[in-house]
Amino acid sequence: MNWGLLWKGVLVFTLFGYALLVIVVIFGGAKNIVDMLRDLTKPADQD
Amino acid sequence: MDVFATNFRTVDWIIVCVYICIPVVIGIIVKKYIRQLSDFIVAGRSLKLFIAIATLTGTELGLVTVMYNAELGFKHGLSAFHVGIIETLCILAIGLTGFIVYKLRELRIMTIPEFYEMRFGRNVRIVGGIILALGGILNMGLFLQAGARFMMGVTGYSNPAGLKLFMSVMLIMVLIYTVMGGMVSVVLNDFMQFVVLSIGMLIGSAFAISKIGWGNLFAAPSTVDSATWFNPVSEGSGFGTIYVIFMVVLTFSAGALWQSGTLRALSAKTPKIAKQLYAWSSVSYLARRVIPMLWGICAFVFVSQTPKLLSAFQGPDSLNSQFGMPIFMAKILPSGFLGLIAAGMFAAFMSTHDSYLLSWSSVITQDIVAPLKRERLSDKSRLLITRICIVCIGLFLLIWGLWFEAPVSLWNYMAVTGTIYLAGAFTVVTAGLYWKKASKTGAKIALYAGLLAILGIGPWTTGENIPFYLTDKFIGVMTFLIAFLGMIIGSLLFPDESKTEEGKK
Repeated sequence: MNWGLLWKGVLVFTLFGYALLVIVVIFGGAKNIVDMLRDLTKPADQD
Repeated sequence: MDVFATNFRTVDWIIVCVYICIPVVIGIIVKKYIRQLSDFIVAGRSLKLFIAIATLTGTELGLVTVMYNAELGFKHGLSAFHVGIIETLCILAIGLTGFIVYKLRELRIMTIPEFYEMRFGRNVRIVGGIILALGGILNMGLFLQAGARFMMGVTGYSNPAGLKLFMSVMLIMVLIYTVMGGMVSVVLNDFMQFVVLSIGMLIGSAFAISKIGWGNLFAAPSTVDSATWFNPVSEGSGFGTIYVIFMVVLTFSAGALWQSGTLRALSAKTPKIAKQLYAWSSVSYLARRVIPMLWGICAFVFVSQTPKLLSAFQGPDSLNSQFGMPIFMAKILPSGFLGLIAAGMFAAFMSTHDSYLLSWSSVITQDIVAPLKRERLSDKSRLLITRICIVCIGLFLLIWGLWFEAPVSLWNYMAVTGTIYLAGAFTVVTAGLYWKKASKTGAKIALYAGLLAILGIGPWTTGENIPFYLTDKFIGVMTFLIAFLGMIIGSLLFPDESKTEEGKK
């Protein structure tokens, strides 16, 4: 088994995959925060 | 080259100080949104997918995570990556199947022991709550120490007393905003910290790789055995087959049931979002392992090429291997950006602390104090008790974290103290959700069995040539096995009375 090649692939996937996730979460998360604060100001539920 | 030489300047201190004040301000602002207990503990179950990903990552990517993963990379090289791969596959499996988390979110509970009561009765909840709080609080016991070591390495300020004072001040700031804003404050801070830390980590990785060189990264340094640098199951790698098995059971159970992480799934708006959260977050779980390990690996390559640094990490009075990564980063990152990275790491320190404080204090309130009281506690009383618990745990952490030295490495300490809770919890929740014959007696045996993991941080686990059955990894695997067998045998030999009567009818 070529461990060096495997770890190289893992590292490249991690760096690019995480960069993409960060971009998606920044834009999606900002919208979610607005929605969350709006939900919390509605009348309380019965939990 | 001076070991503690650094690029950290006054401008970096200013960046750090300004940055760590922001969460306190957020805590004060969002206090008005906290009207009931579920707002405080699970943010009113209002989290949508992307903010849930950010807050889960913010919680599970702490300074201590960066430190223990960097230490693994520094000590074991590329072979350490296997822990990240295992964890990622486990999280992805949970996300794709919804195993445990989907059903727990459907039940609308706020803590794991709440499920114990629902399925096995009040006594099991109290026992489970005590063991969870014990394992959890011990688990975060070394966070301050790791944080202080990071600060020493990055700032080059080697007086431990001053740094411990600095870390204590930071802990007090975390206490203030967590006590005031609860989960809403935690979520907003986690989001901000996710953004800063993630960008900082990606840019920091680019600096580290460019310093070492892409080619040198995949060639074992001359000071280590090439096989152990790459292969986690090769002899002498420090890992081995038992360790790999331990990592599989530990990361799978922690992924599904580590209270601070699961709290995010329980805060999700719907069970479906709870499931999606895990599938998406598998990438950030990979990053939280691999990126700090990469920094640790680069640090080791750098140290092995610098004789003075190499000698500082060798011999009887050598520096703790946790110093490797921060000392390296302090030398290669330019001033200004180093301050931003340090601020991001402090953010990580704070975002982990706030969530853990909230998790364990809500467990003590909901699962130990409230069930022991005969009359029902009002939401107001529970909020007050939770806030008092947050402060008490914080005080305990100051004492334990600043003056206790673990006999094993940082990650091993984390793994073993996590197993105290996870071995029992994973068995009890899995059996409770998916096995009709699971009984109260079986659940109690499984929970108590988790306490065996404490043996894994005893003095007998350290030193050269210790027998395999005394190693922390073997004790960890056996604790899971005993808890599992205890649940099966206990349930078959001592079934619940109601079920026995139903069977007779």
